[in-house]
Amino acid sequence: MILGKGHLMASKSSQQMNGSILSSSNDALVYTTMCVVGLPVEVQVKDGSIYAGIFHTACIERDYGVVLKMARMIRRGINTEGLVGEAIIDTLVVLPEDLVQVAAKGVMLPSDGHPGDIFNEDKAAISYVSGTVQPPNFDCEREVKLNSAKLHEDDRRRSTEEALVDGQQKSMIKSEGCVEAGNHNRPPVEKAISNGFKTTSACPPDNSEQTKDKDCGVPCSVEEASSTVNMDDERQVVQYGLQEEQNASTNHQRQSEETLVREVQCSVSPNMVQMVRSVTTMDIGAFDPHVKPGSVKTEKVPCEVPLADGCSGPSSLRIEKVEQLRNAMVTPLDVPSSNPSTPSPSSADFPSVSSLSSVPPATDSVISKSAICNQSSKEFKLNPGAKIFSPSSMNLRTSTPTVSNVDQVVDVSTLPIVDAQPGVQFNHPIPHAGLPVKYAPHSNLAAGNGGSYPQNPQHSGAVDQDRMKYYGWRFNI
Amino acid sequence: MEPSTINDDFAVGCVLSIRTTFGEEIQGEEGSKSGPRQNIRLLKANFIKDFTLLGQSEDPLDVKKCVLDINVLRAREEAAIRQAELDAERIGIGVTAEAQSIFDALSKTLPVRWDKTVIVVMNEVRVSSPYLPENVSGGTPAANDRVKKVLELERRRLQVRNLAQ
Repeated sequence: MILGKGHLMASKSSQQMNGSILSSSNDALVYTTMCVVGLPVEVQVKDGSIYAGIFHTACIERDYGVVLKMARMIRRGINTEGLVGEAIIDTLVVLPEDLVQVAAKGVMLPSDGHPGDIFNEDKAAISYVSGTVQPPNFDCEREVKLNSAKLHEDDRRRSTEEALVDGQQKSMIKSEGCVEAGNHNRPPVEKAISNGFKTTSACPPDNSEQTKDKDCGVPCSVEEASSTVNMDDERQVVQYGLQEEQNASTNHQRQSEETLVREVQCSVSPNMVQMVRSVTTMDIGAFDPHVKPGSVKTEKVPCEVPLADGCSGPSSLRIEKVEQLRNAMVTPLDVPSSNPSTPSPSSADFPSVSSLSSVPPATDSVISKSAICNQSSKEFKLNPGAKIFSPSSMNLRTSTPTVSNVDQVVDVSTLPIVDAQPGVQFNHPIPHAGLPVKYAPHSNLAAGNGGSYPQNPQHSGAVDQDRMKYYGWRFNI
Repeated sequence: MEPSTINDDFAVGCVLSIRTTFGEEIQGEEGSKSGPRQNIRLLKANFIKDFTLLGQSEDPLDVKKCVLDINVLRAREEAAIRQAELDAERIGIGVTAEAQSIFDALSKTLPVRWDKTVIVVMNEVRVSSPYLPENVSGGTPAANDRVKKVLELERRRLQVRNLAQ
């Protein structure tokens, strides 16, 4: 039961606790719980003791239990030992059967008057991830729900019980005992939050009952603009996404992000830019210590999506979105190109993309990518003058040169397309200390730069040899 | 009252006066300040002894208009934990309430910290139990005298306050 100003805001019966359908009252409970996170609260337990601490997380799935940080007893209950306010408890886990009430003062309940409707923005981003790679008539809403359901399932499996309140335990737990003032190690907040929140699915798995603005308390609305993206834009996004993977291996990752932003802005809608930009930030900056995440606008994750899936938190949502983008890059391979200036993507032209499709789960691929990024940065340190050159990546570009770093990119219109046949001399760069190691043979592109260099096999190798010398000249530093 | 029946009787928006099993009374505050900030209480229904319906109002919480920023919440928690750590350092362990009061009073004007049960002022002057002016030691003569004077004033103030109570 949630009381605010004496008003009953929401109530949750024991019957509903066992149900799988999330009621609007449960939404209110989840939302209120999220609003209380980080605030100083007072928790009363069944023996009458009252503890004051910082609200860290809660378990809402079956019953209601809370976790406090830096808690201390402010009122002793019946048959309770210990001095009031004597010791600081680093992490206090209050089990559901022990919890009586939680009181918080001055809780801000954001309404639509707040700037930046994070819920709707991020929901739109999710819809773009699924919508941009599908035909315009694709059911974006259904895709969002399916992905949410998948997220729920994955996070339930992954969730740990470190910060969760276990309803099956018998007694109240004081984890890690008391702590000396000013000397303690605080577990990662993100992990605790991501593992702590558990609730039933915010979006019921029964998609037939879902509408765009249904009254489930979860803004599952899907932006209609996502479905209006034409095929060219989708391909552009895919191409730029592939290009982004290449740039991820360079040391100028932030510049690449900005470049990608400019590129995307040339051809896609602003909303899509936000999604791609956000995913790019997650894809690179989140796992690369050299790149400061949020060089562009950072993505804000709504509380209801991670809560709905079993409390995985934003980290799993990020992984999900990265995977979405990868799937997006893989999916439209068969889409015919209507732009004659750019090569038609096909399975033959995207050997690296097919390898991309066989990439292990998103988490591993992102981690491997970060390893590549780290490796590239390390290599860059070894040879500061080295530049990463990817001739096959030129096929993805439009005729308009858009990348600002001229040293790294050659104008597509002036360059031929490299033959995909193995063993051709041009695959091996002109030996020079300045050439980057990442300039990998075409046949090994998947292992080199993360495998995303589409090629056009229509040009002869002899011509390409000369042109590769040209490449070498251009990149001979 | 069974939880299932309790839930059937409650309706969102009701203004209630609730008595818990601990004897605590919770009721709405008429004339409470309006605005987005509210006092929230999450109460388990099985600890409600009885309640009284005072009136009916609109649901103050509209989940359709909910917006949340996880990053803000995390930052808020981080800041709160840091502040709590600083506050925890101010609390002496194994000291009397009077000693804590003296420490709090000294901290208003001087940089102080606890060294077990000894109050360390300006990292040089030490005030040990029973925290009288004659228990001040260490530091330069000027610092020592200053701490003694402040300690005398604070003890006098605390005595007046205790007498007033």
